[in-house]
Amino acid sequence: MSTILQVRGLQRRVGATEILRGIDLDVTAGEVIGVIGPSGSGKSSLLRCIAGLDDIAGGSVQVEGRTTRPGDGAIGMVFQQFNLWPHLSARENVALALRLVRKMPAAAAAEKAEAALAQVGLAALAARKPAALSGGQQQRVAIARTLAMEPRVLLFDEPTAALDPELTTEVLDVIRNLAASGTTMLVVSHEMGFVAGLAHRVVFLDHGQVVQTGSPREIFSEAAEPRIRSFLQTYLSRVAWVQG
Amino acid sequence: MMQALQDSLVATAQGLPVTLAIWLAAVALGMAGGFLVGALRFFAPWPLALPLAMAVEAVRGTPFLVQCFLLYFGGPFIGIDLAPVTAGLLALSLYGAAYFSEVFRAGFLAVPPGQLEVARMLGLSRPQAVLRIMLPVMALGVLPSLANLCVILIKETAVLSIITVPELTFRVQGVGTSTFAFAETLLVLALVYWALSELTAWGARTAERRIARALAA
Amino acid sequence: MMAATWATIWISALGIAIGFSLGVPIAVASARGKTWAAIYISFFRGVPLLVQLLLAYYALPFLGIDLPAIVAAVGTVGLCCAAYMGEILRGGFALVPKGGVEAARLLGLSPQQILLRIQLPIAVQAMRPAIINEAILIVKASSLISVVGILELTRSAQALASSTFEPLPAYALCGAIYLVINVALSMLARGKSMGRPA
Repeated sequence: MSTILQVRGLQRRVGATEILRGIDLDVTAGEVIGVIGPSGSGKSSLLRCIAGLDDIAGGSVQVEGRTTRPGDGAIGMVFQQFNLWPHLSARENVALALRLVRKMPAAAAAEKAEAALAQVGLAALAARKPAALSGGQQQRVAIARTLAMEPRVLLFDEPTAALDPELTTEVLDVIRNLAASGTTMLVVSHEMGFVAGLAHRVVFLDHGQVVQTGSPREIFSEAAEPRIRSFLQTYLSRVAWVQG
Repeated sequence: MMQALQDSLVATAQGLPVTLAIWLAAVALGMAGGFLVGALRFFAPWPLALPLAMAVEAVRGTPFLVQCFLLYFGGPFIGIDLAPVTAGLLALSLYGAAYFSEVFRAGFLAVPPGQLEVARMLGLSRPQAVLRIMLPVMALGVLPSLANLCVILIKETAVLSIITVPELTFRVQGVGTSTFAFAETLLVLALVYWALSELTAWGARTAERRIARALAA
Repeated sequence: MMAATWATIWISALGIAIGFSLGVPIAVASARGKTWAAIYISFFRGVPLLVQLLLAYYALPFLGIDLPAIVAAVGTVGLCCAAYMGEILRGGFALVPKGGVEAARLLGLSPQQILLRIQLPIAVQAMRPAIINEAILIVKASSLISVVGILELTRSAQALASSTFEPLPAYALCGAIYLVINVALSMLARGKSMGRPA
């Protein structure tokens, strides 16, 4: 398998604080990487640095051998807060970049936007403004908006963290379908069960460093590393408490 | 050219006191009238509040210049024959009162009802609750808008030159007309107003902070 | 007076259009802390519009800039409006969520496209009441251009007053027409309020 995304020695500093301390990561085409770790471990920063939204202090990010910059179409990102544009309908949210960046004619862009919305199950709501959509629907529009630009790598930054629990399923289903169709993606999520079932490989991050990388089984069931065990225990006890 | 500059400075020295006096008087009258109107619109029954509301909307929806013309040129026909300075002061005070009343009314509306309810529950009479709770709470909220309005009114005084009030613009423009040195004189005029606006804005911010501290302490 | 009403409307509309178009770059510059924008805003908001109009009409020709009265007048109203619009839009830009801009950057929109297609519409939507307030202020402020001899509503009322010797009905009618225009405008603003005077 060919490496599509290559991260080498990635560092990020904010003032004197080291957010990322030299991250190495190789992702092959079609691979799904789950990124987990305690809050403040640098998960979101890692995605934002890969996307080029945050400045890096050292190291490199390359997609298919080329250094990326935001907007070059190599990387797509889905945010925790959806970040839809409130003044545009769902269809226009998806079509805008197709028209302005891909220079597609309006009709073709609208058609492609409809197709992307259909892919996330929202063909019927294309004319609605974000305010008239539920959180889950908004996030699916955001996914469609990213998909329509056909990025090489898709980043999900806690895509369900801002949603009410009953709305997470519809978003997770969409992400699962994308993974099954061979989309290369990095997923930061606190939905451990979802990550375990979805990812080919799981990266555990703590204090800006990769503590361990392995299959879901290696991380979730067999990890000997105390930091991972304590993190999973805290997480599991919380889930048990909620469910009990 | 030096002569024109010198003349404009003399005119400034003559006109500035008039501008400042009219401004201060209009701020005082407008604020008092505005408070009365704002309080009546908030507390009085609708047969009194509604006409006041319409009057305020009429003043806020028409140009100040037209109001000046109406009062100065139209007034004599209904027995209100005023000298330019008096007409100008009255017009500016009424104009200010309309805007001040909106600020005060918004201030009354912004006092959380819960704070009054608590006061009543603790046994304060309604006038006591209004005087001791509502007014101080409102005063804090309306300070920035009041300060802002004061600065705006100083610029509005320039319009009074059109009805021949011998204030800053009138005097300096007179120099321009008699010497034909329009560029120099008007530039001086603009700079004086610019300085005046920045100065009053600064003064208003300082006063606003002082009063806010005194009220909150 | 009918024709003069239209003159007031189109002069105001033009002034507002100029003010809005120039307000956008001024807002951007002022949000980036550019000194020229701060000075521009301070000058045009600090000097009475009447004095600005006199400057444009009487003083510019002495500097070799001889503009037709109407151009000088509408231009001055527009420049002054731009200072207020700049302040309003700067406030609006500050309300645009950072994430929406980041999403646009990642999708490849250019900074200019992001400004015009994302930030500006969101800012305008958020500041709509303030923008309509400003429009009302400009309609009222346009009365001042009667001073430099341009025939609009106030000037025509003056003419009517002096030809009929009945200033009261002339100016009352004139005021009523302004009121109608402004009430119509303020109905466009949901939270109708005429805000600060000009």
